[in-house]
Amino acid sequence: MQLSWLALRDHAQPASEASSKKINYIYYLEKLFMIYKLIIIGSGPAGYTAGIYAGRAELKPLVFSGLSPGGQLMNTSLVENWPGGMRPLKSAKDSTNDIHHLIIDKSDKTMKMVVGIGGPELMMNMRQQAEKFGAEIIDKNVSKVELTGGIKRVFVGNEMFEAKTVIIATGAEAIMLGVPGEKKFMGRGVAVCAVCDAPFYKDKTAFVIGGGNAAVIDAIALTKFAKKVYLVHRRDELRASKIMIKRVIDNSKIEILWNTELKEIRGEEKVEEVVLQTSQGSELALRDRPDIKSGLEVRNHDMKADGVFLAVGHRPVTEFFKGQLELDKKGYIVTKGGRVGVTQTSIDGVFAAGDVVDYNYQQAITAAATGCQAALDAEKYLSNKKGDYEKYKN
Amino acid sequence: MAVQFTDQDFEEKVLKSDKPVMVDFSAEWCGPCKMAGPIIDELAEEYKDKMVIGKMDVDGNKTIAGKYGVMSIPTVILFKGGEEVERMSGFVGKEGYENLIKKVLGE
Repeated sequence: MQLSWLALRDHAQPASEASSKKINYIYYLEKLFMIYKLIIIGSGPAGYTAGIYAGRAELKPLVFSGLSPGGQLMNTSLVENWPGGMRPLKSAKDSTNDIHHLIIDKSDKTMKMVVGIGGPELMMNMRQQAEKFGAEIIDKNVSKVELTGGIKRVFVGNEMFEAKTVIIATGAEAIMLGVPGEKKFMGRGVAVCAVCDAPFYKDKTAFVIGGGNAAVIDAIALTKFAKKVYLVHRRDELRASKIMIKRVIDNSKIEILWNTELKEIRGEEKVEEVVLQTSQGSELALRDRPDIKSGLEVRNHDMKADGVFLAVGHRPVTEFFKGQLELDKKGYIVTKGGRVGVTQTSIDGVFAAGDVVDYNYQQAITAAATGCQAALDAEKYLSNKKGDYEKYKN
Repeated sequence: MAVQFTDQDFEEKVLKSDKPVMVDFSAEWCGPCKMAGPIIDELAEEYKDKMVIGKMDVDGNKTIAGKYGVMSIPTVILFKGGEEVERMSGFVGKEGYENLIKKVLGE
């Protein structure tokens, strides 16, 4: 009877494997209380990479991928800087101007390759790879955590999951501006995924708000359809990679509105107009001198708009770790390094990886790298803790 | 599997349907739509007695998407008696879609 109950609660292991395995005392106890060795929260490159490594270390990790599995790369059409990420040129759709091609010469034939891999494709591959090595993935949002103590608790609504270690890879989410009209027109002209929604703006006028890589990529994606794209940036220089800045400058459909901020989005049923505020004179030059205001001439102007794409930046998803984990001023998780590894947070057995820690690099590959480190750190922590097993019994 | 609606059969299959209908506006090139696809298929199977659940490729069927002001995908619109009753943009996970279906079914 107990065994059938166990089988019911056993999410972690296929029945055949469970029955073939010798059920020793520790194994039995673990199943009874369903204590996972590792729970991973997040499903971007950091979360899935942690899943792959932890799976291969036979930790049978449980991954909460959230309601939007795959993280930010799901909104990117082509990731050009993932090393080794290439595929053969397939369809005519691939042959757009900003895709880099490469001809590979093999002895018997030449092959045209697209340099880059689709964001969703890359993330689906990572997910399948993690599952292949034994990670269990649940597409639900975590609602609460209790991380202090030897056994960590992760809640999804009323369900509770327990684990000896937790890796936090919740990443970052797009920042909304909070200007009037932004919420009202979401999905009706206001959007956050240019790659998804660009085709709806055929021969229309779109505004992209922001000045980083995301904004620049969005602006370029929109030019394939829109007749005009305004890039609205509050400073007088872009913070994007050189190659992307060059593509923006070279694109005749994109006009950059420097030193300009979005103040309001107006319309009836959908977006019709934006209110912008431009500061004449360099805001950049004046930002370190708050005492000097006179050089700044501020001017409001309205412009006709069909779409507004928000790409002002991201903030770490750490709301429900507040009060438990040490966070820095901007809300990023602080990692300690030290004996148990670089991804160790302020709580023993809790590790963090990816954009939720990293305000500096924020790349898919740096996120994946720290996800790998976190899994190795968790594995090491678990092996050191083996002697303490008795205290988990009750 | 979810049915595929087109501009041509939309009136017949959606507006004139006896049961409520959920239409998932999506496209091949949209990442979040790819995540939604298999979930929409599952829900179509699970609710096949109570609701018609189908997909509409906005690439080939611009008229209906335009008529209903779909400017962001994935967007689901739920119809009852030929009228739009609910709408949601963005990928919201199985629970999110299910909540919307239950709301329309009054469950």
